[in-house]
Amino acid sequence: MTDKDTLLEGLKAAVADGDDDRAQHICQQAIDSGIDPVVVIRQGMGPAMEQLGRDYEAGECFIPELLIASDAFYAGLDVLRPYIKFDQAGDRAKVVIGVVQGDTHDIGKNLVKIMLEAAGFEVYDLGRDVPPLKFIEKAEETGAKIIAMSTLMTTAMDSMQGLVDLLKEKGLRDKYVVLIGGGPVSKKFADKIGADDYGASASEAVRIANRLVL
Amino acid sequence: MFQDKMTPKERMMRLIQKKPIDRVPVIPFSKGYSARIAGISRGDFYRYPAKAVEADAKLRARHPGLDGGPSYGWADYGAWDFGGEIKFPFDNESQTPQVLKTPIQSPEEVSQLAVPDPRGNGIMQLVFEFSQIMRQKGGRAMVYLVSPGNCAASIIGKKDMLKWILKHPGQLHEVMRKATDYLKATTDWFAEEFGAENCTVYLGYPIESNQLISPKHFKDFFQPYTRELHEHLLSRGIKLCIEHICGDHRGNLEYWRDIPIPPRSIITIGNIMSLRDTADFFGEDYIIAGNVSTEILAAGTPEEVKQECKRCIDEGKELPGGFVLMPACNLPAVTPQESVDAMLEAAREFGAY
Repeated sequence: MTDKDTLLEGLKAAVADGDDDRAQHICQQAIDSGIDPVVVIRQGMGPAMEQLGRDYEAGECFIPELLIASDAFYAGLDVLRPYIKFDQAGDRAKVVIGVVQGDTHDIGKNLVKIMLEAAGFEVYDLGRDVPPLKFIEKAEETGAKIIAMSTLMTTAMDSMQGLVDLLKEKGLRDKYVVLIGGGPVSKKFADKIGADDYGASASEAVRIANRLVL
Repeated sequence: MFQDKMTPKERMMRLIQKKPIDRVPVIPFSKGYSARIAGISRGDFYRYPAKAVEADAKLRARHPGLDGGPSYGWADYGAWDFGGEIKFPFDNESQTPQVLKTPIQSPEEVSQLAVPDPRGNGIMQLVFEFSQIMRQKGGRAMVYLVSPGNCAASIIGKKDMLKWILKHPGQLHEVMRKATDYLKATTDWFAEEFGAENCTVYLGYPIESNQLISPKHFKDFFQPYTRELHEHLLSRGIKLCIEHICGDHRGNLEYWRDIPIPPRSIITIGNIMSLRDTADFFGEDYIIAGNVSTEILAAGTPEEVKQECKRCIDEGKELPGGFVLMPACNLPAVTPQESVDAMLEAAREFGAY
């Protein structure tokens, strides 16, 4: 195993353990050793998050583990960010993401966001309780290809329909891929409201996003 | 066409007494939908218990034959009562009241967190007023609570609480201790005021779902306090609970064995869980309620709703402890009225005894 491999393996473990300090320390070591920060993300921290996503789907890890790993991921990213050159990151597909109006549960949305980032997407996070128009304005402004929205509440599902209807009203429906996710929604609901697809988990959301834009 | 032979009150009373009834009861689990039917904002519904009771009366006038008492309360209890800030959705900008500021921001603040007196305080005062109105109308005092875990999540913030399971377990236990003490003090207050025999205690468990936490987390952090609260309820003479086991609790079930739920209580489940398996687990002393998909209620045709209800009735109707047809979770505010009609139609068409 090369020094680089050892560092990346250590970083994967630090992220999986949710150890912010260790993740930051190894990221700094990687930078000091001249390892490309994009490689550190794509071969170190990204795969760690992807593995946790698969473990969650398999019922082998749960949201607390994912949340502390996410914190470690972002802690490491803070160290790497100043060293990433934009042209180096390539032409990344852009995603606008948010929790729909009427709902403030954002744990699932944050996990999808981090998995998308780990997979190389450029993500614009509008936060929670986001009105439909705000999603569209941000997508128009940034040139995003995907609008992704989530809700945990059965009571806020109508906001998803509202966004699709608004896109149609503005003649923009075909310009964007609309993805939905969250506890009470389903593929069937996506079809009913005219969204493009539904992701049952953060990992699946990334697979779908990759499929739809590539 | 089947005609109801009992009033909703008679039907529920007999079900709880394990006596024969005319058809499967239908509890709508309706709050935001009731506000919509009554033409009031969700802020008015939650802030003014009298309006919630009025909205429920309008719901039942629109859909005659619905069973059970009016629903009230919401999942995010604790933040307001322990000194945080919440906002009521008077413009319908959110579905339920939202926490603006949690009472504590860090693990270091836990030791300073005081357990308030529930009398006249926050949400508990509203639930108390709701129960007063119910008693004045000749009904039961509905003690709408949340589980100790959800109370702690509201005090800490849901996301942080989930992280504390791994990062600050000691402080999480401390908050759970305080949340449990507050819930116990609340039930003491209601039992003294209304008489324990007149109280129905509702408890919801969304944060404990295995979609969020592992069975081991449940065992280590949540089950002990849930058990303690139930032991307290029993010792105070509470004889009826409604336990909304929200989401997916299949992995937690084995740890429910030691939680003493009063016999003839209602266990309500979401549509990830099986009505039959849950009934097998809890046994014939308990009524199982559920688990009509809220997605189908909100977005399906009346025929799809009827078929979904038939699925539940086919699975639940002959359960030995009894069965109630009920949405898997709160009835979405956007549910078409025809969906609620279809639930009642299904209960009459497929659920007659």
